[in-house]
Amino acid sequence: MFKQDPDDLKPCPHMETWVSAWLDGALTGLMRWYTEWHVAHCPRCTDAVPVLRALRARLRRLSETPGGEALTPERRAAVVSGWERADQASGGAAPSES
Amino acid sequence: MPQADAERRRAAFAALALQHEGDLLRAARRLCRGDADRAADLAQDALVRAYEAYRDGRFTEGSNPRPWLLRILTNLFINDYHRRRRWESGLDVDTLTSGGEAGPAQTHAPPSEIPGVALLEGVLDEELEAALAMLPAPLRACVVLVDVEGLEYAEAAAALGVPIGTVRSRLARARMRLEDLLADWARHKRIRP
Repeated sequence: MFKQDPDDLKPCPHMETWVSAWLDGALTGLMRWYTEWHVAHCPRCTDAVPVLRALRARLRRLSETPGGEALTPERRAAVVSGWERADQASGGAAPSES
Repeated sequence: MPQADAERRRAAFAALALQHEGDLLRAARRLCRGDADRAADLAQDALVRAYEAYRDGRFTEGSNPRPWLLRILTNLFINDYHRRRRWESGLDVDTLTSGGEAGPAQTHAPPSEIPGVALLEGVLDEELEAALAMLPAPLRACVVLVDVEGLEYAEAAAALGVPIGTVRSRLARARMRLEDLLADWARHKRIRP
């Protein structure tokens, strides 16, 4: 069942930052206590929590999708050359012959 | 012998850093809104910059290299962004209510339906990537570092050079903006199946 008001599944505007941080386990002390109390007593924020959790989980899954990301051999060689130049510039050893 | 020492050091760094090459490329791609070449340039530069820091003793042996490498990558992204355009584009990104660096192509009317949990779980990767790309860079960077790459707030704050409170508020704003974008697109998909 969907609600007409598009903000109904977001936290109360003044609580957005705190509910978001609370879900990350990033609140302590009084703010953590207050946010937990507010979520427990506010129907709007109660409904917003699972939606925000689902968004976080969905974003986290992006990192688990095998992307096959890798530098090309040419770029890897350029990285290694960069390291060798950095050593040379700092007065270290000359690049090794390859 | 200096050359042998340098080669050993490069080999040690390679063992440490190249295992995170994919992580760097993935984060760079999202920071650069899908521009693969720019992302590869960024990752490549980050690996060279990281080696310089490693050589200079600025990596704590035994610590997790991943947040450290992502911090270097993010610094380079921000510096490059400053060169291309202002990081916050003259707007107060922390009080943006709409639009921003790359706001929606058209003003989206308040959606008559909103994403529930099932909708978010069913969002395609391509849709989520597109929504990420539409966020202003400072907000996008927070989501990439914390939500996608799993950094703690303190690690993301260090990477971005901002207080933890700024990460906290920007992350919340970014998540609310993503919810709005995904809800709007879901509504349009239902209207035009």
